[in-house]
Amino acid sequence: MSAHSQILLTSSEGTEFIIDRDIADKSMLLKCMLEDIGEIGQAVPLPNVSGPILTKVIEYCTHHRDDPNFLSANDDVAADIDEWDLEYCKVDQGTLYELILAANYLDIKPLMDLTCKTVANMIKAKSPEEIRKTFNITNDFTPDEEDQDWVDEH
Amino acid sequence: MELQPAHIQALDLPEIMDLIGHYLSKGTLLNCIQVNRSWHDYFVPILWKSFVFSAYSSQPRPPVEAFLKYAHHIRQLEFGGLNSPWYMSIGCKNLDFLKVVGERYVLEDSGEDPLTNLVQENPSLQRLILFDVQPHPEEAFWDAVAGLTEMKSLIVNRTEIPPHSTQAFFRAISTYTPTLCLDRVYFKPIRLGMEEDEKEDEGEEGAQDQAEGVEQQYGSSEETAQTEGGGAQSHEDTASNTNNNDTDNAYDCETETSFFYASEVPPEVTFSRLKTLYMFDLAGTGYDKQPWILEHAPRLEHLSWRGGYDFEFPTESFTSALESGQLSRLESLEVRGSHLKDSEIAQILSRMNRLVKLVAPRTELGPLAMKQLFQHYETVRELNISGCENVRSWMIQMFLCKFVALEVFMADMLSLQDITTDPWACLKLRKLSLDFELGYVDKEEGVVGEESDDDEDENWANVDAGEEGDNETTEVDVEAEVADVGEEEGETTPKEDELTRVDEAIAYLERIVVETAIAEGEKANEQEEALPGVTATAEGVAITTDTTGDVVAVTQLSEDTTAEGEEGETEEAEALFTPEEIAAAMVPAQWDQQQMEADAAAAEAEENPDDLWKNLVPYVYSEERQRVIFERLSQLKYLEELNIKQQTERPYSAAEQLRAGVVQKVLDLSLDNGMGLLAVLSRLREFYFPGPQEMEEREVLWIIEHWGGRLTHMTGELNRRRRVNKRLLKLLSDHHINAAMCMQ
Repeated sequence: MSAHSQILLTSSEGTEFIIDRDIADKSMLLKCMLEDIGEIGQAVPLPNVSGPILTKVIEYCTHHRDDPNFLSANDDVAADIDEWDLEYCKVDQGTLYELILAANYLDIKPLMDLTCKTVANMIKAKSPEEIRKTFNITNDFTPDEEDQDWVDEH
Repeated sequence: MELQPAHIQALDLPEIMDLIGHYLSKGTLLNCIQVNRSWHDYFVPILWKSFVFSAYSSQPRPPVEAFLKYAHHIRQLEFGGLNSPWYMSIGCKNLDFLKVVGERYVLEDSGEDPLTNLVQENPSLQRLILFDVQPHPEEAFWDAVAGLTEMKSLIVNRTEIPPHSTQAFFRAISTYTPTLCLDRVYFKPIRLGMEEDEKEDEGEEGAQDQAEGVEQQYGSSEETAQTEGGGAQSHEDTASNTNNNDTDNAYDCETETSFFYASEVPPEVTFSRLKTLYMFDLAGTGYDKQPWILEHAPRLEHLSWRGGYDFEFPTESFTSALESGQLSRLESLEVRGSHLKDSEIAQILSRMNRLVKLVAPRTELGPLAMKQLFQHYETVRELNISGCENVRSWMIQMFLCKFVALEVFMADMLSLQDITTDPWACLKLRKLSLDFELGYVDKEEGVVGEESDDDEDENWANVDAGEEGDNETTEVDVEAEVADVGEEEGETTPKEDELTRVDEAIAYLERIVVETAIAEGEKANEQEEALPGVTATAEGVAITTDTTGDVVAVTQLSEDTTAEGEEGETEEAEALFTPEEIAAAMVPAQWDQQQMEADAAAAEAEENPDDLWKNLVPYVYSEERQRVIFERLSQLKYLEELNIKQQTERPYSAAEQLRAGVVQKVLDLSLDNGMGLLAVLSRLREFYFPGPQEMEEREVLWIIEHWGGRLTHMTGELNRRRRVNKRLLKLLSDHHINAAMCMQ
């Protein structure tokens, strides 16, 4: 198969997307699937990924198409996020979580690392109450549990 | 804000929460476990995932009760220094990583070793690091390690293996682990001719005395070379490579007839799973264990070797293992601290099926090895040939033009004159360490000689012709080049008689080259059909000829190669390059010939120091010429680390220049000079540059604008004026770029 052969993907709403094979190969799920069944000319259904999110995912994979460090890009925990990736992740929380789920489903590790790192940056330097407000989480500890000396215990 | 389904799902998946937690500090994790019950359950295991018990840390530790409660969450455990042995018994049973550094306690009453117990209780250990562990682990420990079926990596550093533990040790390092590092592992020898009791007592004595006795015995008796087992090999080498820490002379005259031997490697030991091997400084009786390991590691893919004083790479056994196919999967080789010869490296590379990485700094790597390297030009991703004095500038140019997969390249110096019109193919480079030689200027006056427009046009005819799409190569007028100098105020004009002396030196060299080529070429033709060949000459040069017999490349051979030629050995007349490559190398070959001529002229001029200046490659002041370098670098858009600082004082263009009171002209990093072209290097994290530069605020602001997103380190002299330099450093620091000034 040539690098320029194309793959047809279908989102959860039925929207079709045509992408180059080398871009599709950034997803381990698609890569393995296509290696197993070959290019049969039919669309690959992605029922867990909506059209707008699939568009964003394709955008990410296209940008990193020629990146030789694609798989090892985010191994360094302390490394700052690339400027383009930083802009890419400037989306609302809902979109960010959907990107996490899509990256998880499609098995695109660098995108998983990027989106989770973005969420981690939202948590950093925040107190428990601030974290609750950021993610709209309800505190379900009992009063006794709340009185526990967490710092001393850990 | 309403909770969205995606939000709930994403932060409910354990693998996602685990990944998020991976990026959080302990302090943040402590806050996370207080958010709600779900987050507590997700992040407590991550909070307790790794723990370090350091005897040198003043940080408070959690209470004992907490350890007992959460120890089962600990996956990664590290001990540094003398910690209470209790901490090794807190109930960790799910470790996948264990590191032990330095001293530890052994329970003297019961004789139990808490470390051995810990390993036995954690069969799922995957990575184990032992660094100078005292007292040294005993046989039971190594038996426990041999039972770790999940092992992925074992590092043993500065450890002594007593004779009775040797077999258990070899079982431990060979059975399961695919990655093994042996760094200064010392195998205590056994002295023969002793009673068993005496052997045990001997084992308790200091290693220094033992090893010194080994040296004495091996040096005095060749009969020791006949002993059996793994210790029988290379006894003379072992004698000369004995652990250099030994200083005491403890030779016992009463045991004059007794001798030492090193414990053998058990014959059933094979390293069938070993893929990555690090062998560092295995002096003494460890040295002769190397052949066994190399010959019994059929899956070995990566070898990293580091020598020490008087301790050379086991070339013979390594080449033998390659030849017999025992190392057929090897594709990555690092050899540091070795004086491997060009022919040895060539021999090794010729027997490797595939090469992905070669790190061979400060070896004698040269044309012969380069020829073999070019067989792997499509696969080599990492190449470190820094400090290799036989690597010429034009060779570096060819690496850059040919090696398409290169991601890391470290070499010494590329001369601007050797950057031909051939495009660089190494567009995936992430790390580049290379100095660019532009030429030399007089320290006092700024410039050597003067330049005429005609001379400059002639001098750069090749480059201009290439830029205009003309693919024909033209002969470079060496005489014009020698007379060609930069044009600036205060230049001095070369005297005609001095030019004449240079011409005479060049003509002399040319005669030698041609005459020798004719003589040796005839000899080579008898052996092969008219193929381009390399022939060693008694003058210490290797000459490559094209199909018509014309000289196309002249390379300075190392002394060893020259000596071999003098002894009458005939070099194999094989093609270095294809005819097309030879044609393409015509221009760089001419420069190399110029290097030879300059070397010869410099040697002659050494008697007349005033004439040294004429050996210099003059600095041709031209923004266009420097722009060539910027243009080439701008193609490397994946660069993360760029080091163009001067690596070596040895110039490529002429010899002995630095003694003439001149300095190398450094690349001028200014926006007017083309530095703006480097804006595409948006991934740059580290930048090391030569100096002193003449940067001003606008250059630094440009750096901040285009590189500030990722750049973390810069080293070099931004401006020769201290006050300006200080101001610019502060400007960078304010933008979180760690800049250091390095005075040249």
